[in-house]
Amino acid sequence: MSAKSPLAVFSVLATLSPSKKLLVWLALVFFTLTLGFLQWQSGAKIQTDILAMLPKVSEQPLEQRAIAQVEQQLANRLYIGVISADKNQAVSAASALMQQLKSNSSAVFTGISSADISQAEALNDFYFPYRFNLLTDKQQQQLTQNQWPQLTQASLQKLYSAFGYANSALISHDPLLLYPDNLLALAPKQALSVENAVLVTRLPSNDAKATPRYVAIVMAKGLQSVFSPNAQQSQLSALNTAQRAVSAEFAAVDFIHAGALFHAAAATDNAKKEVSSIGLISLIGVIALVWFAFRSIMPLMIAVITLSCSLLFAVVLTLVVFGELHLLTLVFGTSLIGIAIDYCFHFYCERLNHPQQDANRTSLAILPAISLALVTSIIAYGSLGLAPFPGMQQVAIFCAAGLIGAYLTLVFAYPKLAGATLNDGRHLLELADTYQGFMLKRAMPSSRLSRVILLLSTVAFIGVGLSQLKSNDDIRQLQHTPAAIQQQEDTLRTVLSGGTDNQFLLVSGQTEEQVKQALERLEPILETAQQQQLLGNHFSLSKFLPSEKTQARNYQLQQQIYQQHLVEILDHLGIEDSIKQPLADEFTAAKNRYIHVEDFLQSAAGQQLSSMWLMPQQDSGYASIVLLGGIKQLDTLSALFSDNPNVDLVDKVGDISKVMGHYRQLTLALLVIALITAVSIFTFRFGVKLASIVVSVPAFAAILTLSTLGLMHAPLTLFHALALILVFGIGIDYSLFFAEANQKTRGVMMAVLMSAISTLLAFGLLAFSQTPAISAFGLTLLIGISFTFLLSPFIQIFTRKPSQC
Amino acid sequence: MTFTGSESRSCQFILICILLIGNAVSFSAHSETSFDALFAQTASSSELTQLSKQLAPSSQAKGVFTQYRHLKVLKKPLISKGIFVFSKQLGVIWQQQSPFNSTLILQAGRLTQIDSQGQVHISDVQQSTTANQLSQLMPTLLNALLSGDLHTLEQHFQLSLQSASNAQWQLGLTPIDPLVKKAIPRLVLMGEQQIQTLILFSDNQDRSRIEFSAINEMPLTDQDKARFSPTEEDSSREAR
Repeated sequence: MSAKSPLAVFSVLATLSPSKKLLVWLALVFFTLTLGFLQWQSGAKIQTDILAMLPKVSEQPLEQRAIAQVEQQLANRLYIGVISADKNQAVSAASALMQQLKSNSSAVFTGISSADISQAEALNDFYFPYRFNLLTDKQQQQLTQNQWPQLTQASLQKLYSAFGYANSALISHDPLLLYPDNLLALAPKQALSVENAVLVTRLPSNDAKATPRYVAIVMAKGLQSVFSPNAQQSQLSALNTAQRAVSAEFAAVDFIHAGALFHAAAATDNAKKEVSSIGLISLIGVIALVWFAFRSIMPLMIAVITLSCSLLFAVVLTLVVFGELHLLTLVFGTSLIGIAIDYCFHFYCERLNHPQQDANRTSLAILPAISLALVTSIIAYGSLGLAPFPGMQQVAIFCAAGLIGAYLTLVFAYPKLAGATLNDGRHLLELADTYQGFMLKRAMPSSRLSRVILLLSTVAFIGVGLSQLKSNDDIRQLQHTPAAIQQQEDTLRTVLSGGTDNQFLLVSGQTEEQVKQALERLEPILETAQQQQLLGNHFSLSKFLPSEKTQARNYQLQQQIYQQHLVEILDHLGIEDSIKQPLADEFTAAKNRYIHVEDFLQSAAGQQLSSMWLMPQQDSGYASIVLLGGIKQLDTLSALFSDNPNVDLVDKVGDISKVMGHYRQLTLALLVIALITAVSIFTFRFGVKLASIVVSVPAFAAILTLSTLGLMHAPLTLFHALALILVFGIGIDYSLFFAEANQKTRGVMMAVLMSAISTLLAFGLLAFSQTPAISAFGLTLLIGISFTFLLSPFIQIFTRKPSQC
Repeated sequence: MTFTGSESRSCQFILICILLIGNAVSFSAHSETSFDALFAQTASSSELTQLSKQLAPSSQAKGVFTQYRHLKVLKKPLISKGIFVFSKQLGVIWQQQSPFNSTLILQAGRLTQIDSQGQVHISDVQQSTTANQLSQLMPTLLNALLSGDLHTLEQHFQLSLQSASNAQWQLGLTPIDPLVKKAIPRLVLMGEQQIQTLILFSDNQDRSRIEFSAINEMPLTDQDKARFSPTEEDSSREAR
């Protein structure tokens, strides 16, 4: 269409016979079906990851790697709490659950564990040889003050206790028992105890008098992404099977869960429900509308064919472009039903209005208006696609492709298929006529006074509304979490001493030692922040990887034990003399043998933590991640590191939210540009005056919509802005149809009435979605389309004037 | 949820390392062999019922203990003496009086230590990082032992029993919890009407023998009860 002038194309279409057109259409449909089938065969899938909808933020390479590593580490983890009034039963049931999961779900889950004893052993194995380089802060202080006699006395006291940990093996290598405290310092602070290798604790309860209940923790990691619906299904069913087996054995246990799996599953579930409920209601509504308007089977069949073809094009083209279909696209896409049907309505209204014309003539008659409408709608959807959201781009492609499908059906299939004569539809035409007459004559105030009042109240409405308008770009509103899931998660979070937030610190340096020292300097700052309640918890490699400087100092401090006073110490403790020489030799041999990052990360102990460290790549140096949890005041916290060149607070959520805000503003600017562009395009056809009036209807509707949102105290988001673009895209059709029709507006009014009802059916229903983003989108369209519909008949005042005057 | 960040800390691991240190260095591990015969005899439930009848259960007791710690690398055993107070409701006080003062108060979920300088150190087991298994187990164990509660013992140990004709019995205990088992693979309890001796074995030929005497099962005095909640001054006075 773009190469030749539109008129040339139209004339070619006019010469084709209806049968030939049908053949073209059938060929197109067949081609699309084949394409779709091939896509399906090559593994096209449905995507439910809400993150896939998010814009890509351009981070520095090092930060990108860090984000990827953190996500990799945290992804697909899930936590199960086994609750019972009896502690032993909770522990036994948790063991049974782990057994079940290990034996039956090894294809689904990995890393099924509770208390990780092997990790504790691995840490001990790794650090014991380096014990001469390790000291706790308190030990450092004591040795700096030469307090070796006090340490010896304390060690002796521990030796006397039968219930303590001092034994021959340990004291022959660590007579002052300094090492155990260093190993303990590596353990995260947790309010959990361990029984039979199971983590267990009392369930926190607000009611102090309630009988205590216990929760035992089981952890697992899904092998596949929890955002793949198939993986969701298999993981949930494996979990349910295991839980049922455990419940059969231990009747009185309950389960609570936390993890992305449950959120993703709830989102999938929710989206599926909404696609089916919103889609179904919208479909039924549209069919009822067609039946009410035309009272015959044929238009109904044609409507179904149009919608099917539209959906076929939408799905196949989206799959061709993206290789996958996002579930949210489908939810948004249900609104396609309401738009694609417009072409059908327009065609039939035209036929009702001119019953003497055949289907081919009718389709040609409305072709200019329909083509212009298609182009503007595609422009509107195209600008949705400019937003850097893969998800929104999909919605754009999906809807544009669907409209093209409906358009092609009208142009090529209607002439042959939709030729059956219609039942008398005059009653509806008359209804539309009456409505329009009412709007133009009665709704328009006649007296000057009432006009002034109307004008003033409109200005007041807009003024107050716009002044109330606030914005909110937090991406967390994209996700709706059912309260039950959130509550379980909060409980487990409390039990596991807080979780990890999305923000983390990235500590970088040119050398390994620089990073280690920076981590050590960071530690007291974070401790203070925790005391000031800015932060709940943090997790750093600092304790695992002391700097060489610190290690050397600790070694030097321990010289007073192993090189200066060993005889006295061993004598005081009553240790065999044969121990002395090997111990002194061990100490000498350990000189300058430092804990190196690479050794640690490759050890059994360090593997789990390897995602916290970044080796240099190309330009970037070394870096380490410090995880943060329970952040209370992000701004105050980030200010602590603002003048530290080695430390960056990486906040992907915040960055994405910023991008969202940026694009919200950009989208509103785009709307203005689109309005101006539309005026200049339409000027060629209608002249400046009418073109401005045609465009002013959706423009005015947009302003009124924004004011209404302001009065409703709905914070403006990118999704509202994107919806406004669509309001423009759809709304401009209405005024276009009126403008094209000049005086003969009976059919147009009816078409616009029906199209507005169907669009409201489709988008208005989206306003009831549980997902805030979709709801915002739907609400904006609901308000925007209503205003456009109410305003569009007034165009007639201007188009009629020439003939009336 | 991934991006509101409820993922719990990725590096979940629990260190009950204290107990594992014994494994770090491998001494040739041999338990005392003399009790092998005992541990070969799994206790039947009728035998245990018999024993629990024999142990006249009491909900409180106090007495004197003498402890012999035989550590392989020490030139001579560490011998200590002291008193203990036990109450089923309150817990256990383990007060060493020679060669120096130190007190251990074991209560449900709480461990109080008073060292020879009289410094009080209280650790809440629920919130302690140490999760010291032994200190958690000991109140339960001593409670069960002193009150003759074999049912509780059975939950934590595999029991084996050897009774001689003269009412003398030996009870072998093998911990069920793998971590506890690593620290103390075997325990032996000996007694007649009352418990007389407790032996704790570790994997590296260390063992502790605790002998109980002068056991008094009369109700505790208010003074005894008050000692379960010590203040700093009390304990420093005690230390002096």
